Amino acid sequence: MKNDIQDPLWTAYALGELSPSEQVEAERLLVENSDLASEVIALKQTLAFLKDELGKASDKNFEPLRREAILQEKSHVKYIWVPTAAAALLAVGFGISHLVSLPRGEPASSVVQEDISAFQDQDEALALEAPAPVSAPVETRVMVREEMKAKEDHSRQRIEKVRLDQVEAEASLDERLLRSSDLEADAFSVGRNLAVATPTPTPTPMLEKE
Amino acid sequence: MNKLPPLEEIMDCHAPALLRYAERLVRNPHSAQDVVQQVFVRFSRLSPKKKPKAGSLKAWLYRSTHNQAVDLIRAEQRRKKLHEAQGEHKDLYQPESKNLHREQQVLDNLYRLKDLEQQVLLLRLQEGLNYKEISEITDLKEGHIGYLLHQAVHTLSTHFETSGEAV
Repeated sequence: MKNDIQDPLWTAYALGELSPSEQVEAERLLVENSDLASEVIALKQTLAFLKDELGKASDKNFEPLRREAILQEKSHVKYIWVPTAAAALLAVGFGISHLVSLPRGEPASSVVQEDISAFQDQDEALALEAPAPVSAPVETRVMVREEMKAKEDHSRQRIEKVRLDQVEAEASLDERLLRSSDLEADAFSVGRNLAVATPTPTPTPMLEKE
Repeated sequence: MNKLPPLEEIMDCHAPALLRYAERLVRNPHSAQDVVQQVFVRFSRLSPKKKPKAGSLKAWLYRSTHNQAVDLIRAEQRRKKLHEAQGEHKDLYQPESKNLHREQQVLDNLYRLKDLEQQVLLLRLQEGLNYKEISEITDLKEGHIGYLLHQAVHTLSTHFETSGEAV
């Protein structure tokens, strides 16, 4: 214990919280130092004053309405879990049932299937068009070359056929045009003859007023 | 030991002391009721895992009451500043000290202490809690609590000496 009022143990001494040995030492110091003794007396008086004033605070009770509000809050908190848990369970149930009802391995639509087959054909064609690697055996390279040649011939034949079809279509179109122009000419001459044969009506003369 | 008693029992056991403590902090019986009500509502909303154990329940309640009271005081101070800035009822919040009652004067000095000093002083002298209990509430070491208590008492003692109140 220090011979100084700044030592917190002096408040403990004033409150009677020191051990017997510390108490004896404190009293010895107070006898030796009168200034310190007067300061400690001031501390004791302040503490007594504070205890007196603070001790006047009487016990308070909760207002009944507040008490009820707290208890209702408690019950509300308790029951709010019930609908929350129920909602969560329902959501999980829906999720699982949705997952179970999903068709597995559903066939792709016909359009998609066609697209896939078209891509497969294209891949095969590209694979055919690709020249055989030099490292491949001679037989394989000859086979690949023959396949490519056959494909080229097939393409040429198809192109030729398309060209012939186009020529035929053009010829038939010309023929149809010619026929339609002949029909127009015939119709014109028929109309003209009809116009000549039919006399034009003469207007009725106005009667003069007498 | 760790099982908490029902809320009704907890309220019956601790509410009076908490109300007294809160009223001292906020200086208003109605605000004190608000503060302690909030504490119990908060307690009831805690999940079972987060609820304090029976051994530390008292400390938790005091700590929550203090925090809630400090929040309310700060909110009041903000409101007061706002009112003062608007020039409304300035005198109502700053009464002249010469007209104060003796108790009010003591408390006025008490409220001028630092927050922790004030808290420790109230818990020790008004609530009669021991250093260990105060340590659990404030999360301070017992030695530090003794220091804060001494600082508070010494400050008030010096003030009373100069004002001739207690000596």
